Amino acid sequence: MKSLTTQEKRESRGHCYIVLPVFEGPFDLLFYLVNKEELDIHEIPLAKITRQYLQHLQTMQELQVEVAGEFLVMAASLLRLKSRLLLPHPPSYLNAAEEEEMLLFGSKEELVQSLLEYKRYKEAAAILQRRADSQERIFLRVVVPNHNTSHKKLNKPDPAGLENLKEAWLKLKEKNKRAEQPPGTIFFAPKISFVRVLRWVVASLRKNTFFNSYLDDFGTKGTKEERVTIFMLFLELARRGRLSLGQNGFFGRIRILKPNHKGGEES
Amino acid sequence: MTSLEAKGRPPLMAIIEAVLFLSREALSLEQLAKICNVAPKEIRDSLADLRGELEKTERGLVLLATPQGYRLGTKPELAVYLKKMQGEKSPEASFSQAALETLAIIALKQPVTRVEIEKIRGVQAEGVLDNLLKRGLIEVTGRREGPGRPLLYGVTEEFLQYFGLRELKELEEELEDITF
Repeated sequence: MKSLTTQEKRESRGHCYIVLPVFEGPFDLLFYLVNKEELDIHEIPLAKITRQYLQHLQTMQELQVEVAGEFLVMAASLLRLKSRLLLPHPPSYLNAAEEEEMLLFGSKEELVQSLLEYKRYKEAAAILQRRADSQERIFLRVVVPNHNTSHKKLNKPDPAGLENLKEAWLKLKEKNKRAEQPPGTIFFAPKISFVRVLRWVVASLRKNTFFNSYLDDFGTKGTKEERVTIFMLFLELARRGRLSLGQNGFFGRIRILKPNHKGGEES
Repeated sequence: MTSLEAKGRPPLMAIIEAVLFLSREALSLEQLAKICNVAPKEIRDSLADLRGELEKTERGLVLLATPQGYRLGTKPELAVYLKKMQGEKSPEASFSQAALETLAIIALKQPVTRVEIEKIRGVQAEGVLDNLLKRGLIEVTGRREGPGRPLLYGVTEEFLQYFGLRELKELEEELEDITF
């Protein structure tokens, strides 16, 4: 059950607050009732606790709080247990085994055991809560990303001799050279024009020279842009119906075929 | 009297305090022993002394034992002042009662199945378990042999760290203390 925190108590002063206890489950409610009545779990008066439990469920219903099925299972279990204590021989028409399965406990000893077990875990949960709270109030020295290293570098640079400088310069030069090497990265205008290649391909198509050759044969020697351009171009031509593309099975090589060619590759 | 003191060196407790003060992560007994150049046993004794010393109310630090080792932190009761300096700690999403109870069951009973947890709490546990798994506080440790081979759950090292526990035994001991 969630009890009022001091903060909530303070806030409630001067205002009208209705706080309904929230129960985590049937054992939580039962446990609350046992505590409220200051009952000894070991000597739990079954009739009394069952009556209280049912009363509570009724209040919940009156307040139109939806009662979860789990609470009803507990009610059934309590009633069943109570009735069994009254009747020495349970009626034979009940399918005992089937019913037992649904119930939370079969005997008073089991009920006591369950309550004791639940109490233990509830206490452990309270310890965890307390620990989490105090843990949250402990501050640690934390690693501030890069703070330490940059600080060190600024104040105390590694001794740099002429050798280091030369090395750094050569590295920089090498890096620039590499960056320059394949001309046509984003700094340069592409050397291949879509329209120009289109014209060339369209001219070749008329002579039927492309058909039955493989798509990946084109532009293999070119730069990345050229290859991409040619690939896009063939896709575009296929879309316009100037040629069709066929493939023999998954991952097979793609062959350029005459327009409206049905089926895959001819062998 | 430690071997270092015998040679006229500063007390081991002082060295350990300084080392832990400077360290940004937890140090194990072995690491401390290596740094201080003494046997782990001596470190353990000095750590106990240091813990006792720091418990005095006029001291601001606390010795923390984590699964990874030892480190210094500030005392929880000083948080109100430190917040002014460091700003609010990023608020960790707090736990629901259901999550805490489920964690407690797993920690004390592990390895444990979902059905066993549900039996104790009388409530379905699936959602809570999912959440705790996502937060990395529990993990699937295997399957129970038998019908259905249900998953078994256990707590993680993160769990210990989060709750400031060095080992699960600490939780059990603390529980015994309040029960008896």
